[in-house]
Amino acid sequence: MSAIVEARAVRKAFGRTEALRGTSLAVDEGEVVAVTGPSGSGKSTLLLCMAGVLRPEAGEIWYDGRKLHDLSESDRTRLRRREFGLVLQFGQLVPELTAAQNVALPLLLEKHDRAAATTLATGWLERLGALDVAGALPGEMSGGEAQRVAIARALATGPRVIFADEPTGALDTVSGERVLAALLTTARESGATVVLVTHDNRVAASADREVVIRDGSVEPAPVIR
Amino acid sequence: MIRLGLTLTRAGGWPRMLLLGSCTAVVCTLLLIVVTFARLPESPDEVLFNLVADPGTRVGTAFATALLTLPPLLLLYQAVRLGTAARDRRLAALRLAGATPGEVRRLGALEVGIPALAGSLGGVVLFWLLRVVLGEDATYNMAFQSDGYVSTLSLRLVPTSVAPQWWAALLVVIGTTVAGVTVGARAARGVVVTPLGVSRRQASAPPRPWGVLLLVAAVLAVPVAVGRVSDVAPLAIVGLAILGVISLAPWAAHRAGRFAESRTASPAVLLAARRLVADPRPAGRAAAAVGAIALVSGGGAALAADLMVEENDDPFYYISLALVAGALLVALLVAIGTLAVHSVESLLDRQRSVASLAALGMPLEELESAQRWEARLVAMPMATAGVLLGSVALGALGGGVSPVALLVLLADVVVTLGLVWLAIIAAVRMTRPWAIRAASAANLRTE
Repeated sequence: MSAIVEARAVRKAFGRTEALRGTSLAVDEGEVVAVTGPSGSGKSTLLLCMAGVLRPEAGEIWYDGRKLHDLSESDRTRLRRREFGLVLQFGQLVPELTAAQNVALPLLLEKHDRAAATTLATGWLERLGALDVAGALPGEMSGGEAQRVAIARALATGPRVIFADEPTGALDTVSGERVLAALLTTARESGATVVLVTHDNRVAASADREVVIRDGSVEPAPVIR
Repeated sequence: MIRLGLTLTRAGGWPRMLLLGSCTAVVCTLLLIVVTFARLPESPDEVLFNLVADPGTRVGTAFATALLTLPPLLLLYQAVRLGTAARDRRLAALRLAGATPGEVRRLGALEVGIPALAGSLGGVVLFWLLRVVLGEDATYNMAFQSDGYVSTLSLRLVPTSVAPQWWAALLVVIGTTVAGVTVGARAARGVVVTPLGVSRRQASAPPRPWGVLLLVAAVLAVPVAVGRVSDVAPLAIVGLAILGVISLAPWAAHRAGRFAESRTASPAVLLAARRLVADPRPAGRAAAAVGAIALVSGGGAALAADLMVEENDDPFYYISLALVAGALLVALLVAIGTLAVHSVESLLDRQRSVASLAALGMPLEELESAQRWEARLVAMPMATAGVLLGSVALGALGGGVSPVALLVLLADVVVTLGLVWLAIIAAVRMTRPWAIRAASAANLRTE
């Protein structure tokens, strides 16, 4: 099986702090990979680099045979919108939009008409068990509900790769388990690849493979499950 | 306390301090000019433009000059809110360090009061500089006619033969500073500062259209004023109408948001509309100046039409209208500043969600388009209503409807809306560096 997304010898620094020191990681199509490691090890930075959000100072990110940073900013933005889904620790939903509007937003960006976007958004909320909060604003939802809405938003455009940065990090155990189950079940059903950053061993155990990052480098022997 | 206030003021950043000071300086200068108008004798000992020289039009000119303080005051309001997130964190840190809620409130007032006082004092200097610059030909080439009026056409508007009394100048400085502090306190209203952080009391109810009452009062007063030789009635009508437009702006913002939200398929318009529904007051205030400008512009168009119908070719009237147009353009420039500051404030408050939208694949152009729509959805209807209201009210005072009047009104609507459209583009364009910063992936990182 060939890698759908791959980081090759990526270096990234924030000021004097080197977050990634020549990190490499290849993820196969349909695979669920958990990236673990202590706080500040560079997990989130690697994820954001692989998702084309951050630009590495050295090294390459490849996606489906294309070098990501050879693409123009607008092509990369379009690619992120069509092919990638992004879930962050606090959901990062737009606070002024209702749950349904948040999920419909990427569809509207893809020029779906209003009715079709609303229907699709409602369908995704239903699949993720968040239909009850379709009309609620993020501030009116629980952390678990907001995360399920964020996952629905990430999945709405049918992405090939889902990047999730600590999707259960801000949730209690029960909500975290529900959110993780919703993410992985839906992703596996749709055949999407998942790159999951977490420091929770139970979350990592749900993945097909675990990769440990320490001080900006992948540990020599990644754990294969 | 003052030392701490100074430290907090510096921490707010020089641009914000400069903006606050500049606004109060302009307000103070304008008020000192108004006081000078009030001190002029019936027949001034200097050559001045007739709007100021003629006691019959002087009251109106003073009133118009006082009205010119509204755009900088609205800009001041927005400027105070600029960087509120960082300011709130500073105040919360003070609470954690043991400051009482009252002390934090006083420190918050000082943070605005210090630049406001500096600006007011700067306004006095600006006023005196203006007099020095204009004072050179104050009594040059005066030519009195038999009826006592000066025949020389001068464009001088600021008198130099009289000056405000020292106590009047002091009152203006104190008044302007207090106005700055009051505006600052109003802007911080609803902020609850606790040692553990800052929360905002969201307005529970959407804004109400109370401003309609003022507009209705202004419209009802028109028939009363028609045909009466009085300075006060038309000024009161204009004042009521402008206050009405400003008071209505937040309600208009909320309604415009609701209207657009239920109809649009554009992500930019949806974002803008929802922002207006969620918090209509800041956008409404930013657009209020535009509505007031359009109202005066409509009034000016009605007067111009009246002059054309009567084939009146006295240059005094046309120069007066040109001066009004000039003042409106300056006010529009200040309004661009207000819209830009609102845009920056909106970006700073929403950094994380803007960064998340960018990460999800929303292009920067689309984010900027949302900023533009947030201003347009309120400012364009406000400008249209303002022009129509101003022209109808002053048209009725002036003498009625004619094809020429309609043509002038149409031209005024097109020019005013065109300028407002361009002003919004300029305001959002000015904020691009903040938009780029807000969309940065660094804002995705957790606190």
